[in-house]
Amino acid sequence: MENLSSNTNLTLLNLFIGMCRGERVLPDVLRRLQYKEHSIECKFQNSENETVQPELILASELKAHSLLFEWKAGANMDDDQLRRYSKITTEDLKQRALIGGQAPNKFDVTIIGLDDNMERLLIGIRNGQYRFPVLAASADTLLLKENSFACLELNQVFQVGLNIDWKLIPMNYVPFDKESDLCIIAEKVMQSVVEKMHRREPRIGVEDVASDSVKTWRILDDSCRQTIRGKIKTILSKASRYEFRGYLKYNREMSRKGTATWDVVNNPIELDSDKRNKGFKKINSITERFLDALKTGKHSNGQDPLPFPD
Amino acid sequence: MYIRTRRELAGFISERMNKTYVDLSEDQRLELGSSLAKVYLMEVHLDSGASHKEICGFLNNSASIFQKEHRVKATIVETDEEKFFNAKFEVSGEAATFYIDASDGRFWFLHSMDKSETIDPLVEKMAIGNQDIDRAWMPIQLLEAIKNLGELRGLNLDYDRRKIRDIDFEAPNAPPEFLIMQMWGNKAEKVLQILSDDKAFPTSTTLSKVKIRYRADSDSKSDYTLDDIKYDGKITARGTSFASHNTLITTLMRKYSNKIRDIEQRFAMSYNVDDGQFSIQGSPIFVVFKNPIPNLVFFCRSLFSCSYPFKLWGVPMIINDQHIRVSGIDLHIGKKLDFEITPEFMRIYLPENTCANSVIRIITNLQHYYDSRLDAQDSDGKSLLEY
Repeated sequence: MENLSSNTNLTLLNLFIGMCRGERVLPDVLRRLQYKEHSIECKFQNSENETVQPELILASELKAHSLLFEWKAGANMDDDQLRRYSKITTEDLKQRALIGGQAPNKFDVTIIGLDDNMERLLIGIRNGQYRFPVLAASADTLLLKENSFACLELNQVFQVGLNIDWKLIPMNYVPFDKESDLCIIAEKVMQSVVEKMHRREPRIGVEDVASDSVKTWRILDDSCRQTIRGKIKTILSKASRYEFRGYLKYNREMSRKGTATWDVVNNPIELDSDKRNKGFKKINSITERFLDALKTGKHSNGQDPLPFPD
Repeated sequence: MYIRTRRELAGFISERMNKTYVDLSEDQRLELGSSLAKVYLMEVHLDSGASHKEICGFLNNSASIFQKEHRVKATIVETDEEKFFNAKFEVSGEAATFYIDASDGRFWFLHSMDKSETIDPLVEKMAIGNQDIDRAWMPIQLLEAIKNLGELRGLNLDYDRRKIRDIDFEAPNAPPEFLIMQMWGNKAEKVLQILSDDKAFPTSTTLSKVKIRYRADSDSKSDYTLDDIKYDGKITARGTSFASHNTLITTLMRKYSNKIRDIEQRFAMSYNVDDGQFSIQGSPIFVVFKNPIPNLVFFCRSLFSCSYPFKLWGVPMIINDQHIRVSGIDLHIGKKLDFEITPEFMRIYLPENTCANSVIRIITNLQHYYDSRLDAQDSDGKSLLEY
């Protein structure tokens, strides 16, 4: 539950993707009904040409049914957003969200919120007389609180509550999003940097690291990419100024010409084979210190602060 | 000795198998200067269908890396046959030769008739120093499947928990710190059953080597091979039938390579977009522990310490008290592997371009250094280690 309240989007994204893929510690109802992940944060227009952007769309050809999810970390509903969701038609799903086959024939916009906030969340739904099924996430279940699904089996399962062990949800299908803290994103960024060092790549570019470390990079919209790119740039800048000062150096010339780039100025892969693992072990400790510093804001090995590169 | 063809190699191995068998049967020792026929099963980062030219280029490049790093003279010699090479080494004035059968461009047989003291370190250096070469690692389940093909004539057990000391070994019910045993004779199977029983040492009885008598032609009682098969892919042979030895090692390699391909096909993770349709392919592999991990953080720090035998880089990120995520790098091949570790199981996410050999190496080493009963399973709980 702690996962859910601290990062609702990532926890629920990974939960539903995991359930579609038949994760062993999760209920298998979605896999049995052959729901598959169709898109994450897919922006499209409803029948009145207004933009909607569900967090996740799942589609089942078997049940000729699609699920569009909107999750709420807080206690307030966005009335305008609900209204726009209510104007989505099967045609929009086929022609604009590009869901193929029979899956868009029936669909449900599903709202998920924390059980503690349910009373307030339901006010918005009831006031607008929306038919969206609403699921409440509590310490160990996902329970249908309002309305129903167009798919009978989902009603049967969610009416009694789907048991979820929040502590064991897989968190690696989508490990971070644009809202994630720098230290969470840095975990994947530094993994990408170390892999590139092992490949003897002389330079590390932001664009390259972004497409390498963000698994969903190709389906993200421009504004989302821009946000993540900015965060990766901040991470690499901080790394080269502080903990990784002896390993990465900002390349002003290349950065001025194109994407922000850092040179690898010290690489353990260049050591003799018997010393390499020790070299990488050192990088392991430095990475740990760096991730910690991103959390606390207390960097080591620093020099006088310089302005971040443009 | 220069060997031009596989047939010539077969004759050479056959002669050595016979001679060492007679020497050991009659005198219980080998003639001075003689040694057993050996083969090392290896996996390299080439496609199975790699051409002779590609393999030759790979070998020459590997030889020059080897020469540079270890200051050992290494020469690759082509033969009369495609994808069959002699690799000659000079170590402190002593010559050693491997006969490399790379019929499958990815899964190779390295035969040699030289002394283990000379060639074992060479194979070790090849596997450690070159990220494109690794041994064919054999989990307990594969050794058990192979032992069932013939008559078990002996075994080695090798378990060492000291690399991951996450329990108090002085506690009254603590498992063994290490359990190493060698046994020859026809009671080996019985001893294995007793030791691996739930009341004995179920999580510490790790099979590391099996000696089996195997007949390719079950009707021919006098034609057999007596092979020692080690978990790191080294096999030594003596006996009266090269055909039996050859059938045994090729069966073993097929079981190994089929499993590697199966894991890559079913589990490799990829994220795709086709005609606006987003899809995730693959799923994590579940490594299931017999007993819950007592101290998750300590376990992760030991596993991801960049050191032998796991050689994994990564910083454990605590998601909650039951769940740690590690975005790791397999330092042997320099590629990503993602992990999620809970007390009961570990998820391994294999990216699409990372070889399944990494996963099998981790599993095999965890059986030797942590939990011999450990299994790898798919989402439905079906074992991936059934051979």
